[in-house]
Amino acid sequence: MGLALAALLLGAAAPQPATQLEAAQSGLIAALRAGHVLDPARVLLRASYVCSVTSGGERLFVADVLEQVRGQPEPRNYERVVLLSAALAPLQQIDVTGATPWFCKSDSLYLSSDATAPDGSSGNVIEFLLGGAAVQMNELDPTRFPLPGG
Amino acid sequence: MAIDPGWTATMDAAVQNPHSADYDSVIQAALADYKARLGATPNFPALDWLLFKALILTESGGPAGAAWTGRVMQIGNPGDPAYTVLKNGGEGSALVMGAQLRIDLDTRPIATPSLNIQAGIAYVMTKAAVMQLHEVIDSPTPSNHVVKRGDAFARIANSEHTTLQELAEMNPKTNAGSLHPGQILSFHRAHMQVAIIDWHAVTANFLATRYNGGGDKNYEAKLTYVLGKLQP
Repeated sequence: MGLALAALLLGAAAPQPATQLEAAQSGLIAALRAGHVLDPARVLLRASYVCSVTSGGERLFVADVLEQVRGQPEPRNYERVVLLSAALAPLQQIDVTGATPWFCKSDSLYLSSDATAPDGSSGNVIEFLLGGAAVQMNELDPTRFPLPGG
Repeated sequence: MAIDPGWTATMDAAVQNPHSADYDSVIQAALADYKARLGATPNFPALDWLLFKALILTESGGPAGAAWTGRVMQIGNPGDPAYTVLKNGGEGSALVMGAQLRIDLDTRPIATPSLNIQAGIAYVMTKAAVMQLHEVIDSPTPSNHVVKRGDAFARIANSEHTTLQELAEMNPKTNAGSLHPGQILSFHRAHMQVAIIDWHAVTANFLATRYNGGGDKNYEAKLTYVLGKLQP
């Protein structure tokens, strides 16, 4: 009794805030599996939340997914950004191999380099349209990127 | 980290192996075809066939490797996204590939070495092409679509001969969750046209970044090593 009270007073029984990060990532990976974004033949190296966009009045969520094709002798990496609905349903997948997603602003995701949309168009700014039903790739000089946040 | 000495020994032997020339003509013919079809596009890159040979040796492990008589470029390995992209003509590959290759991808096993090499080169060229999508307005007169139960943007765009981009531009506040029967959407009849507007230079660094995707941090150094061995 005395020990339990001491533990409670010291906060030992309360979940640490960092555990929420692990839980959120587990939830993200589960959603990506359920949405058939992840391929069981590939090795998942990383899946993480990047930022949120607003499109057509809806709040949508961008994840970065890095998988590896275990080729012999050379493994090949395959990286995508995945746009997710509020219910974590995948809406769009865009190949960003060789680029790093940086930040979101309004309806757009800004990247370090060009990404390629499924239709072949490329750009370093991905604009999500119609609540995520469509994407438009834009090319913008990085010196003209807006500031993140706000 | 330096390249593993065991790997360099394998490549030294591979380059000396007479069978390393088995696919030289396949590589050269494929690159000549791209130059003939796409050479007039802006900034079409110089294509060093020996760099592609270095790529094939690196991907397969050389003539002594099991992949040499199958998936030489590792295209079509379990989980490989490139094969799906090419078969679907995705990421603009339909614009880059020749007609015969598209037929072959549908009709021949991807473990056929010459086809695997052609597919690998097609994926490299698709990654190297910089494409832009243009909207072409087919009718200057705007039209309206009355939303029906079960309508979705893709279906509306298809049935009305317009584009998602046009629907978004003409109806900026609309989203999938807000579609309701009776709602009126404005649009012009339009279609999208994709065009190659530029090319990335095809270098060892490019192949390491865009083909290998950073899967092996020594990939560029490996390609450079093999290329050095191949150059006269």
